[in-house]
Amino acid sequence: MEENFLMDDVRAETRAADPAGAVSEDVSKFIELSEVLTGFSRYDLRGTGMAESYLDTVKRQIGTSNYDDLLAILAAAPRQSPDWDGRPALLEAARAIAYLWYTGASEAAPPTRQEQP
Amino acid sequence: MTDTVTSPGRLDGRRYDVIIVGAGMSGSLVAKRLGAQGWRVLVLEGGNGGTQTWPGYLDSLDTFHSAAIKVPNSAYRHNAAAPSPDVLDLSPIPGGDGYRTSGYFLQNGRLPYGTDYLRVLGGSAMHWLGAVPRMHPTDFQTETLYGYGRDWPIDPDEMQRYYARAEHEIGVAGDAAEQREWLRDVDDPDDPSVISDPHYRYPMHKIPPSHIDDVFRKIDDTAITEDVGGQTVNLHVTALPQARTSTPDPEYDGGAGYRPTGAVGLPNYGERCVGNASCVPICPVQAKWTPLRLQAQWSDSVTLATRSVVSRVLLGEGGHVRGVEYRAYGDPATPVSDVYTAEADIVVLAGHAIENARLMLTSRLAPNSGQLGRNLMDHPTMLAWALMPSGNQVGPFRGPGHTSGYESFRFGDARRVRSPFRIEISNWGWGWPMGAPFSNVAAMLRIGGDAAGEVLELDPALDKFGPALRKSLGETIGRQISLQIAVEQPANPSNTVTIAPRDLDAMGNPRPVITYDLDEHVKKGIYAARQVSMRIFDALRAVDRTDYGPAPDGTYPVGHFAFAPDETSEPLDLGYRGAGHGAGTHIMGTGTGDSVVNSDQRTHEHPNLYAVGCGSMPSVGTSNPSLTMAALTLRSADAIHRHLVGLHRPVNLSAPSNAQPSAQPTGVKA
Repeated sequence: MEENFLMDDVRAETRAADPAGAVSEDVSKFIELSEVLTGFSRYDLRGTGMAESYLDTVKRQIGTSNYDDLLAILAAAPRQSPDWDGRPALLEAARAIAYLWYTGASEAAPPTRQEQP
Repeated sequence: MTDTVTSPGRLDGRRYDVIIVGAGMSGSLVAKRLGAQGWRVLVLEGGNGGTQTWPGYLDSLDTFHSAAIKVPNSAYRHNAAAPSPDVLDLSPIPGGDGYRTSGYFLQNGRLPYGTDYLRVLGGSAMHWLGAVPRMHPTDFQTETLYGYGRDWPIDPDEMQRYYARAEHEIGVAGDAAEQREWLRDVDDPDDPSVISDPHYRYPMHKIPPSHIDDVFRKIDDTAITEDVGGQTVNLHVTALPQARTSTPDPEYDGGAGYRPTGAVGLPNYGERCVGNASCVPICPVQAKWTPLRLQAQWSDSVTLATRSVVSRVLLGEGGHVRGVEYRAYGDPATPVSDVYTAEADIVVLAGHAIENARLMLTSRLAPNSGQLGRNLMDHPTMLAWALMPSGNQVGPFRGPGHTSGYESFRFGDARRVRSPFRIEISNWGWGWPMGAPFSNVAAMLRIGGDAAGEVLELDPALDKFGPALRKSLGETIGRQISLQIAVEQPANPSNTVTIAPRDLDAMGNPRPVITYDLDEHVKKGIYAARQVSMRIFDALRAVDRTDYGPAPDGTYPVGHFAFAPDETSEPLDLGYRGAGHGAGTHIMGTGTGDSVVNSDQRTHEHPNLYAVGCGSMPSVGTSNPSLTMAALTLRSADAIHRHLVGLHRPVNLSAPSNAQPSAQPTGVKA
């Protein structure tokens, strides 16, 4: 166990401080949206420690204004089919957010992966 | 601890006992042995360092985690100065049956060479799986016993103790008793085993089997026949010896036990394998062994210079080599290099098989054998994948790539007719054949648009989000099984590495040109392997989803070929992937006429030049070659030590009374 603590200590020094304790309202909304898309509970999603980083990625990729629109569409229909009419790019962004949570990658992989020594 | 030089220019013009080109598995082993014996050793590594430090290791982990496509090289940053071939360099011809290649290799063979390697500190073992099965005694004598391939000039019995030494250096976890019983032709009472010593134990107990191993064990003793060689085998799931830390065996080495070496960059860290599934390329808890651990044990007579690409071996008088010319660069992204030289009594080439051949060809060495750059080998690997029946969750993507396999098709007289093969039971679902689980998530989300790039509109019948998405993904991915069947490829002089004198890399060195194909013997092995995979899936009541046929637009997968073993059989669409087991390019033999190096891996034509690694192997059997390479390297390290002792023996000034030719090679200092 002692070795584990040592690793954690060094990681903490090496990386940015762990923000899991305090989550902004912005991140909370992103986690709520992600719960609807992924099927994982907000508790599970928050527990990954990845929400801030993913939100940052999403905003950089689709822009803050599109992200706000996406939030609005999903907030209006949390338990029923959202209305994507005329906004195919936002539908694709919703898919990309689910993909990001499931795989950790911000762009979809083609369906091949080769080789393993 | 060794001295690591980051501005290699200050080594310019220095002289060493030995220069080793390449700091991968074999180079690191030679440096450790010779350094321990007090020789002054310079190790020149063309690639980048960094992963040997703790922050560097974490950076490599992060690089892997954020990579969109998880391939073996995706934990290590692209290096324009020392480029590596990547499995992503190959692509199919749209609407056709063939391959295109981009990247480091040029390829002009009938079939693609789908094998990569890695030019970084630690070499390709920085992405290896850590599978360390021994070759079987018969694998060293296929020409004599079965009439194909080439024999080794080394007695397989002699390899036994070098295997044991290599397993100690690497720290192997395995079940020796099971290996003795099952790693042989069980139908032949006289057939030897891969382990001859009845008391031998591995340093550590075997890695625990996966749940998938247990699923396959339920069909143990099922008789499976392949029709090409007419061999019938009773299935027996057998544990794989692995180069990762497990529980040390206190009875190892006559009760001496074994103490695993820890992580690099952080003393007292490094865990047992806990079942993370990213062994290829990088283990997050450093349970997987890498050559960086050997490097941490180098003596202070070893000097390491990274970012130093050897561009020429310098020829001296009488066929001797006098040293190397190397180019040192700063930024791997925008390489600007300076050229330096270093000299030594002995030069050891320890790059990858293809890099050793490229450097020797560029330096115009070994001109008389006609074999340099020939006999390129790999283990063409036939992947077969299937889905277990609904409700049968097997729990893929847990544990190392594979923890068990079926070994019996490696042995027996059917080898006269077709190549033998070793069946790995994958723990990683359809990861290798289909890019799962990423591809499953992408497909179920219908992400990426249609062929024209238009976003797919919402279809309530197809689109899934939320709990429905999670349930569907879990239900299908959780039933994925696959077999990875590595087929032996014998030495064939028409599979070659040559150089492209007018197509240079960023260091001004010619790029390698690969000419590759599979012969009938290998294709028959792949056909039989496919047949066996179908019958194993049948026994499991799994639905075979293997498909090497064309996509709807007519595009065949890379590595596709259609083949029938005889005129009466139906041709099958078959395919293979590269295993990352490049070998044979400076093949070992008894004379200049048929080979490049002798059994010590010393070049026939240059008395103080050694070329070590898989490039020397006359055959690769059906075993992942790293362990055999390590054993062979340890044998050569002994020979190089004796050679150096001979060179440094005091000169006898009195006239010899009856002069006899020395058995030692004549050295440059004589």
